[in-house]
Amino acid sequence: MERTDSGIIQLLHAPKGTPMEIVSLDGGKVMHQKLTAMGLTHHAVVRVLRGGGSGPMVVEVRGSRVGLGQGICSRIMVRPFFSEKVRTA
Amino acid sequence: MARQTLTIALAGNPNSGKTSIFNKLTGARQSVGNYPGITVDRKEGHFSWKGTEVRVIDLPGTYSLTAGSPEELIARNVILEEKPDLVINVIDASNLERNLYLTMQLMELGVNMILAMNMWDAVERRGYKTDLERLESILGLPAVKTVGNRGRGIAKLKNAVIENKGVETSSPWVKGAPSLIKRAVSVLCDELEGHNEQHCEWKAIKLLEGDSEVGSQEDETITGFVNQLSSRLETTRGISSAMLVARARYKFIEELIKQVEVRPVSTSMSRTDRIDAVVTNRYAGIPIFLVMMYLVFSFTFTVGEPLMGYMEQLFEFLGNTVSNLWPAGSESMLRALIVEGVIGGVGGVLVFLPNIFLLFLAIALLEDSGYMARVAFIMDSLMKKLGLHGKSFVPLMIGFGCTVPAILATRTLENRNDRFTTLMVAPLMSCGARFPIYMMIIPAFFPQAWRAPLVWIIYFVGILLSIGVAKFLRQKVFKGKVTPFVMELPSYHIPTPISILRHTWDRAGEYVKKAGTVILAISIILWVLSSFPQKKNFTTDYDTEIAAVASSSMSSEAISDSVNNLENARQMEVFTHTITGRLGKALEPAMEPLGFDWRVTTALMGAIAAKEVFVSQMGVVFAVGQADEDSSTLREKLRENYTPLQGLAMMLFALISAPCVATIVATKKETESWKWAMIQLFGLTFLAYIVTLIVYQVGMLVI
Repeated sequence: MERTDSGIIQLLHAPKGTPMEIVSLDGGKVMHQKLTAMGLTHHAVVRVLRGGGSGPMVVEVRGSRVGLGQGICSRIMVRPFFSEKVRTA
Repeated sequence: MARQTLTIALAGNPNSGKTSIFNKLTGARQSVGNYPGITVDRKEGHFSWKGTEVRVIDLPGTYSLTAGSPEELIARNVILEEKPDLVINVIDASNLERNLYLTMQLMELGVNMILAMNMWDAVERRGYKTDLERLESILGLPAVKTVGNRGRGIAKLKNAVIENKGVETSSPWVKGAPSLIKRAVSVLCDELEGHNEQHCEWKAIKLLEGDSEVGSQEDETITGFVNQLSSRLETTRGISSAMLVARARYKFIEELIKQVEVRPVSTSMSRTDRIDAVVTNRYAGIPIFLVMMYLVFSFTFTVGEPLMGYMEQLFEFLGNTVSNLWPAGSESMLRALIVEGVIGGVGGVLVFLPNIFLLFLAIALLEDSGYMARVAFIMDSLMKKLGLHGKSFVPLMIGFGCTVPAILATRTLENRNDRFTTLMVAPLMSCGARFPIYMMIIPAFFPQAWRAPLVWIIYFVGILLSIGVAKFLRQKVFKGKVTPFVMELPSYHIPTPISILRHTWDRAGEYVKKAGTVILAISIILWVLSSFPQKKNFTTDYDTEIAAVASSSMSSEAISDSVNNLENARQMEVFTHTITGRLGKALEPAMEPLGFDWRVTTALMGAIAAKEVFVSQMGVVFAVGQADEDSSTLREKLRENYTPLQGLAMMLFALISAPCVATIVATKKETESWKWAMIQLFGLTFLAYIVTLIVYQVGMLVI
């Protein structure tokens, strides 16, 4: 599993059911526009509903379910999300 | 009171229930057209309410209004250029956060707007507390609760439309945006206003988002400013201005939702999650889908068969009634044209209407319930292996209904390579028009227990071939990476019978329309081709010989046998003399290795005009020279003349070969070149020849 010091991992490796916060999105302009329209932006909180295995993942983001291919999931970096209080403390 | 006319536009996310709102608003007063130069449907409707005539434009369903997709461009250009008096933004009220993102962008356009808070029943069922008054006052827009598919709130929505005072909107989020963005918008806006441009705020925002269309219209001072700003942002904040704009919008929405909505804490899984746990399961997902498709076909067969019998009786009755209008024994070309050409041809196709209707019904049910989106999802990894996109699957599914809308539906694929590959193999999905061919052939040759599995196998062969062809095209012709999969999986809901019927009726209506126009014309042409030139001099005097046999001392069985043989011989002579017969004969040597005689060959030629013409043409071919009293049906004729293996070969060839004229035209239109249409036409026919040849020849060896 690819992991950096700050606990930032690829969405692809995010555990199921845990709220994760998006820290960066890689990819071209059109891909960004699409992801943005589906609610996937910086600091958006996502929860993996169904892991990918060899196929796409399902994540919950901003109240809707979005299917995401593996390629994209490897280019979205996330870290565990804690509620506002914990983060500012 | 003077009669007023208003033009309104419906905007909203896909899956927001926009279509049901449109249907409920306009009822049957709808029309479908095209936007010029682009292949996006333009749906319009009308209603009148309290003395006001209202024209409704149904914009394509979009999540956003960028220049990135034709649908989004159309949606915003209609608003900017046609300037509707009012926009109804249809919102899935049970999913405010994502739906309000489009609302933000609509407000940026400065349009006069009403919110239709749709799917309000879901809000109530889930126990959300949504403060609409608060929402209205924050956004400055009127909001109406609706449940589109049950028609709730439609009258209120209509009242809101005609009572609307016309408040111009503006972007509510800009005030709270990061100062960099706020300043940039106001500076750009001033600059644009200096150029006497309208919608300055919207344009400023679009420029910051790097919108290619708006950007291309502006001069260097403005684009220079935007570029400078973006690069500064990129270096200082490590984020693009487009990202900052999107975040500012969502930030506003998040704050708004905190003020207007309270959701109960729930620990249990939602209905959708529970269903998804099963149907999108890694191992069970695909088997479940295959079982679903099997059930769809079984349903179509078992329910459809008796209904088809009634249709057959109806057309038989019609044919006999018309025949009896002429005195017995009189020869009339007109009678033959009406009975054999028109009633025989069109009737032969309309007989299958119950089955087509049931098939469309089942597909509509799967689509409207939300299951089809899951199909795209579970198929993505498989499709990716073939070099296709999960989204390719939905157009291909539609292809089971009709190839033409399937080809149009490939527009959801943004990437040209993904799209063209999907489009080229779409005809291999066995369409509804090919279904009558199987319906005619299978019961003629195979026992009841084999029927549903055989249909399933035929469909499966099409799927397998499409996989092979797609793989080949992706490796040799449309090279390049597959675009990533991003797709919303909407919540499941139980579709209302009305919406399902409407959906089904729209498609079945297309089939009937085709039968009444193209197929009617083709039936007549084919009848002419298979009736002329008429044969006057026969090699033998059949009438005398038949009379001789009939009066002979043979057993009654032997008599009827030899009479039949003589009749068939005469028929053969008559038919081989006609244009179709001659063409079929000429091609027979090439088609014989596939198990086809000249009659099947002529019917297959007819199938290029429209697949289902194969059936009516077989009807015409076997009815030629046939006595009216003879009650033997087409299936009996088939049984007498061909083996089950030949039946199978016919189905395979009809499945794979040359797509119908409508498909060729659609391919030409969508690819904007005849080249691809012709490659599709000849490539598939070649493939059909090879596959059928192998199956027939191997089959002959085995049997």
